[in-house]
Amino acid sequence: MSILISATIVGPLLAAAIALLFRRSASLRDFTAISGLTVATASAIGILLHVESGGTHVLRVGNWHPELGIVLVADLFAALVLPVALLIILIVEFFAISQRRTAWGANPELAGPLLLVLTSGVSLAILTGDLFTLFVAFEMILVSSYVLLTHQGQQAQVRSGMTYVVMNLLSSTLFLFGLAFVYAAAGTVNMAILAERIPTLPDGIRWGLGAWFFVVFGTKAAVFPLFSWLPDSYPTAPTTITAVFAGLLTKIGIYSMIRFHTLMEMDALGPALLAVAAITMLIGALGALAQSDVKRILSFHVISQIGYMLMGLGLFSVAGTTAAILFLIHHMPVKTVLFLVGGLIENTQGTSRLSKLGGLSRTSPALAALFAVPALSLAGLPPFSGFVAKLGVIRAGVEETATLVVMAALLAGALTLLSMTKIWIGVFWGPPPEHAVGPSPTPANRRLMYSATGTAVAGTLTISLFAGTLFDLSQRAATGLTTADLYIGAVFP
Amino acid sequence: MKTRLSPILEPAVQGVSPLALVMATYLLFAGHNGPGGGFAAGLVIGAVIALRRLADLPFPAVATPLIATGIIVIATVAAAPLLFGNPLLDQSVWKLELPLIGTVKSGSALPFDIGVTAIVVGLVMALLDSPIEASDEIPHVREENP
Amino acid sequence: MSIALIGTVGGLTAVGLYLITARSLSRIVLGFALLGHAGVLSLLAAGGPAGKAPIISSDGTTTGIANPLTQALALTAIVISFGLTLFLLALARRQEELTADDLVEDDLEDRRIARLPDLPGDRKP
Repeated sequence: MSILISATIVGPLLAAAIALLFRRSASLRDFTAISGLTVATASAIGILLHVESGGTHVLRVGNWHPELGIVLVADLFAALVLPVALLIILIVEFFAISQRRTAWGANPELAGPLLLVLTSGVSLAILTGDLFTLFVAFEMILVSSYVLLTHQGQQAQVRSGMTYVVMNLLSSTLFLFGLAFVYAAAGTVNMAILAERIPTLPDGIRWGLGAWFFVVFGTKAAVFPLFSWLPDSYPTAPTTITAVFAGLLTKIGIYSMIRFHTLMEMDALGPALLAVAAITMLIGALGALAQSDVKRILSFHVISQIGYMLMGLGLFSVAGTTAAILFLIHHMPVKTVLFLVGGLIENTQGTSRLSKLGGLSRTSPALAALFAVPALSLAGLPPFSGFVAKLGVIRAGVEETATLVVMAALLAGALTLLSMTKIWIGVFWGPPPEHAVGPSPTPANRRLMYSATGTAVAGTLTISLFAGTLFDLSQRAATGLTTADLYIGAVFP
Repeated sequence: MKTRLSPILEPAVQGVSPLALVMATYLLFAGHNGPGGGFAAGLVIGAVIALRRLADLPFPAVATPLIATGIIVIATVAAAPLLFGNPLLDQSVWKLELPLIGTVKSGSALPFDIGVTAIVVGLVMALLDSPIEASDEIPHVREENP
Repeated sequence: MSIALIGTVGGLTAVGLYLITARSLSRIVLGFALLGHAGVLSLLAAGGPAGKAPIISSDGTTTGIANPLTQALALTAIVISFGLTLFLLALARRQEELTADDLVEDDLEDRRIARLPDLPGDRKP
């Protein structure tokens, strides 16, 4: 078990270094990247199976006592999110390999290794049991994302990359200050000890810490009003990179928020979280309606969906947290697939701007089908996974009689459907545009791109199929979070 | 003959470079029980490289292999204890009796520190060498004013 | 907790925040460098009173040493901010190559959409 946990973090890092050494041979580099990711994904699935039957597993790095050293805690929440996250990166890596030789592909010499470093950071962020290691993991993710976003050095990327870097650096700096505050207040950064000590602190300090970390994680998660960097920067990056960012990065922010705020019993922040959640949903959905570019519409959807997860968290009930976890697991693959389809559209048509697209349902029906499934799922229509997730959030909201936020959620759902219809009408219906841009001039392995996207779509359908099992697992994970004693007991047996 | 940037800088850097490398080596080995360590050593070497760049003196530009090797060494040292049933990043210390020198104490922290040094030096080189790869052959993807 | 340390943290934060609101990326880099120092100093301040270097001497005494944990955290934070400063500088240089300046520019697409008339009926005068 210790080996499995270590493999998810060290494996991708090692593969990144080896891939860096293969500067000349693209096939060797791709092979290294794929095997590193496969090992990590397989280990993550192994962890899930172990944790599901055997309970939380704790790894004390370097045999240090948890108060002094790093602990990696594989509880059910971490074990559920980790395989989904790693699987997404694996599929995107396949897509990336096929897209390498096109104008929209990332520079393979850098993108492969950096994606692996990012993977290692994602595993560390999900598994870590102390706040400082979470900070380090965030930095690993962000540093690789900074370079991935800007490494092509085009003007649009450097410009939007600056906004992205500055916003995220600010949030990292606030994180550092927050660590100092937590240490000054509680004398530790280990989350299990904090879960014991923070609830006993004076109210002012307690809610202050909660609000501070809400801003820190909220910037990463792009909640209102800290979201403006996201729709600016995501669409400029190569598609594969945007797909990973949209599917994972904001979700790591919301993951950390769910973990921190439930374990530290920040219930009193609930109303504030719900208000922010409602505004985030609506702003995201309205922003999507105003856009006229596929990638930008999808970027605004990321923001809107973050609102739903925040709503589940803000309810501070087991049902709410369950729904938030389920939403998280459903949202990661669906969002990634949508961006991959966006990339396919861009690759085959030469643009992602609605005004220059049209008639794709006749010219490439496969693309239309690949888009329709995740789009309907994201909008929350039955029988797709999005319906189960959204229903869970709304039912939890009704249980807690949070009427206003439930109404906002329903409204935002309708608006999301409307903006998806906008993409559908603009891209797939109507006559083909008069001045079509034409496919990208350089060849790409389209078959591999389609099959990677198809696999991901199949994956999202699988999630809908096993929604019942996932709901039960999410409920157990949520119970593990809301009952802090379980977490503390696992770290300090 | 190329023009010197400064009659003082170049010989001074030329003279200081080997001394600083000795200093860096000392820091690297002292780091386990005293002030110093891999990062400090890497910074000293990095400073030497930056100075040589300022003085227009040659320096090895092997950023990528250095960073890659550093990560491989660190990951290997971190994962090696797993093979012996110990947790990730566990340390082991070895003592060795050498003739004339006496007891030499070292441990798995030393290769780890060397890996850290390699990464830091590699990063500095990467910055001084070429910050972000200018890929002008890739056409501009997004049209700004449709 | 030392008043001097807290005052320094406050001063550095104020200057740092002022600098990162600038448009020029080189000022933003400086601002983040100062903010990083302030963060590290506040970590040190959180670690309790000052003391001797936290190195266990050969006879094993640990009395009177400073808190080593926050120093370890501070060192890690320094390493990270070192790397990030390098990256920001590289980004500023690239921006200068592209535009002969290092100013952070507006979101063009956002401006374009803001200029769009809402509906044919309510075009602004």
